Amino acid sequence: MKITTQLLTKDNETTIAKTLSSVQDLGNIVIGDLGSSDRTIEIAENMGAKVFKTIETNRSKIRNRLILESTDDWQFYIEPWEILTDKESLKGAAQGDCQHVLVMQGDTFTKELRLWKKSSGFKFVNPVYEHLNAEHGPVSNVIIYSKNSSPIFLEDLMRWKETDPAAAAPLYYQACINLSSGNYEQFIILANHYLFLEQKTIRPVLMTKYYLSIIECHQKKRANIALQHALECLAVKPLMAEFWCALADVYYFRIKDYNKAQQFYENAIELGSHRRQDDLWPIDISKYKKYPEQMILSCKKIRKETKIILPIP
Amino acid sequence: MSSIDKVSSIYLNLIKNPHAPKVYRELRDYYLSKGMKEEAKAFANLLYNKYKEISPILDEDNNTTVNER
Repeated sequence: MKITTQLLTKDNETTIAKTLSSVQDLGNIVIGDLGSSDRTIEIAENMGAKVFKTIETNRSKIRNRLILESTDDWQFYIEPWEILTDKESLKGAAQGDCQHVLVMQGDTFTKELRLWKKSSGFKFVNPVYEHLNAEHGPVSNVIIYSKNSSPIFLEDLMRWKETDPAAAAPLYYQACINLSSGNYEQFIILANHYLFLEQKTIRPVLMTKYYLSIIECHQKKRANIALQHALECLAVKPLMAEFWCALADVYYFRIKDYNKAQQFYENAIELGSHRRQDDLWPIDISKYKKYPEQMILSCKKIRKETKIILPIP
Repeated sequence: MSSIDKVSSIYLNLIKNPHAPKVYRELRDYYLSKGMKEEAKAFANLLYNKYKEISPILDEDNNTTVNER
């Protein structure tokens, strides 16, 4: 069974060889290059990839064109800074219409639809931060390792905002860019604007509230706002340990109620252990055991020390 | 009371008193009423592990008992 791998590249000479090595022998490799000025194209062609140079800026249009160019039914996409960890598991996962894979960066996993059948009719959507237009689908055990975070497509994002000013999604991505760059004031403004526009309780909305809870707690030190966001997240997804840890952090770092904080960290471990592995939400592994366990020990220590300091009546 | 108001009030009670089994019972029952069975079972397991309280939902499928976890 052949699987065509597609990539979009632009000046990825330092990483493309490792990426292509990890997918060689799966099938054809097709690349849409968005104007590399380094050796990306040369390296890719030497490794057997078919490269299409394009001046198109809409990444979904390029990817959908690459799907048309492919003759294999199974399609897979990988970014030029990622590595597929096991080719055999990818081949084994090629069942049904599509499969999500686990993209791992540090302690965090996201579940992304990367393997699909051309005949299923899935298409890429969004001019940047593109993804396949499938809301659901099984999660495989295929792992992609991402050493770097994705590049920032700020220019493309601004262009998207200009062409579709009513769309909420560009605000979400712009907020994420500011969050990862440490521009917390701008993140808060954009995140709140996004939440104002996007009324549906969809995954990006809850993740925005989660990040707002973290930033409000740890950066802005505004406990009430952090608390509100954490509770709103928990109401919808009570089995996300990340959300219980966000709530616990408010009590630990801001309110200094270590009794309540300990209970919420314990809830993170207990309730997080029931989270279904096939849901499509990101997962921060550390929040399910390591982080809450450390914080519980800290709460116990502080509470013990507080008892010792209190004067005997 | 709307669903949003209901769950909001339960979580507000939770942060007032996170050690009370009552609030976890309410959460278990709320998620069960919404058809969120996994969530309801999770709270039922918490009630058992923390307060030794058995919930009917844990007996529903014979393979799921708290002792297996």
